[in-house]
Amino acid sequence: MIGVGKIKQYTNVLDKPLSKGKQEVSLSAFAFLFSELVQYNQTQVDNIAELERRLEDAGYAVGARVLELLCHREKGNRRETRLLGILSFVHSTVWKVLFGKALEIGFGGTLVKKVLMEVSDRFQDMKDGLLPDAWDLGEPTMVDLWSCLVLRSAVQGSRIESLAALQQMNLFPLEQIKPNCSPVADSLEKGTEHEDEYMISEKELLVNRFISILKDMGTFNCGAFVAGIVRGVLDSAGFPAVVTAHFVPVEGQLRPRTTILIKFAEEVDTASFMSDMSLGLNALLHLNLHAKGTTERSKIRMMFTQVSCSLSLVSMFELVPSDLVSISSETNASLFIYRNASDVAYILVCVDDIVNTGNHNSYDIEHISQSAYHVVGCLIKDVGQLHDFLGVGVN
Amino acid sequence: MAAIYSLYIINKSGGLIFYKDCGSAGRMDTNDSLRLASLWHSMHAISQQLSPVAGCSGIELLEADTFDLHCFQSLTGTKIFVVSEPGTMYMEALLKHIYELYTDYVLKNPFYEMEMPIRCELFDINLSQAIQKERVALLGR
Repeated sequence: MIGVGKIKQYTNVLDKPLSKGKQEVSLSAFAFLFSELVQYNQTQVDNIAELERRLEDAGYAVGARVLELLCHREKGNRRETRLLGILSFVHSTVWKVLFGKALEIGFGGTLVKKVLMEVSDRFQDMKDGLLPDAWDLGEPTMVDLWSCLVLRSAVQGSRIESLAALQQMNLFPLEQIKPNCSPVADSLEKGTEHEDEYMISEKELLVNRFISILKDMGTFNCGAFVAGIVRGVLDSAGFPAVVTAHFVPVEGQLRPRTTILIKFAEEVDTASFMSDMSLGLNALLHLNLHAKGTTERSKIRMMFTQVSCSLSLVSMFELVPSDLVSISSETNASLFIYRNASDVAYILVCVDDIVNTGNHNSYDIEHISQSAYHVVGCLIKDVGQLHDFLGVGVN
Repeated sequence: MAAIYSLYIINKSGGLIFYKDCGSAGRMDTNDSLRLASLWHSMHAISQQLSPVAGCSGIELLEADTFDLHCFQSLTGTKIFVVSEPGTMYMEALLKHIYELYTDYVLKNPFYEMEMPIRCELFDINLSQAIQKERVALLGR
């Protein structure tokens, strides 16, 4: 029959619908094209730094366009305003679409994995408008929970397991890694103690798969192209940054890992990291309310309380994690000690109780409760002087 | 006990672009290996003319008392040949695999100039792995 199967012809290319596009592209074809791009740029420059800059500029153009396309295709035209949101977008969505694999977010412990799965299940419920009015902090997302867990790991920074989880995540805020925990973190920390620097690390970039750098080219990395893509995405999204690609040698492996280092410009608000934490806590609290069974609930509550109090302390006293000594135990208690030249404060957190003592007046419970309310959206009631705690009398 | 003594890759004009020896036997210095490569290139070309039937693609196997020489010629004229112990099997498959590695890690490398000696780290690494695997598999058979 005439007309059956005929494709509708569009007079104007702008009227054509944006298709999903081909999901698969020949790797060899891309490798040859990229090789030619590098060779072409090599003929135009005098030195290696210039070549790296040119590759980055080429990637920048790609990044700007990729952001527009993916926002339309994948995210339903939602604009990211939070730092962690855009970073998570880069390292999962962008990477998945461009290079065919999402960088994995690893978590330590099966409980955390379960929590994450629960959240993704519950997310639908929450989206259906069942948020209570008190939690006026916005919709919790996977990013929130994940960022919340990053902070938890970071504050308990002396524990190697948490650090391993962070490393698996491939994305972690540098200043919160303790220096003596792992050789990989060490080499990354050198010279980068700024809190506006983030890193994405991958075993081998796709563009570098077939490329062997000559010895006399020094630290040149064709991953500068990928760094340019990331910079393009971040810049167009309103988070100006300087992005570079580095090889990081790993002991025991012949080939070094590649790290994309993102250093945000001053105008980017990296302090919003904290508010992202609060949203993560919100997610946890929701989870707590919906959890089935008492053991699950208590575990979640323990995690929640530890994080919330750590968070309130960090934001309130502007303490960096190295100032906090957290002695976590298998029970629900967490002891936080703040010490400086003249003051000392001890804050004991136990499930939903906080015990505070110290020699300085300003670290009083009112202060804590106010900031806790601001952060976690729940009221902490001051019950006055402590008379007994966990069945033990106190004078 | 090395089943493979050495590996040569020559470009379309007969110049040696890669030489690797895998055992103490049959080790050659640079000049000798260059001479051998150009000699083989000429013999390969002559054999195409000597053939009584048309459409001969050149020598694929040369058997001698103490060694075998397997040769693979690509469509572009690049020849890969390997000197091995007499009676070693599965050399054709190995040669094809090495050709694949060549197309991947040498030709896709932007810093490699065509027809020049191969200086690609990734090619060396993968080649060693391939030969190692071959050695293990041969011992196993």
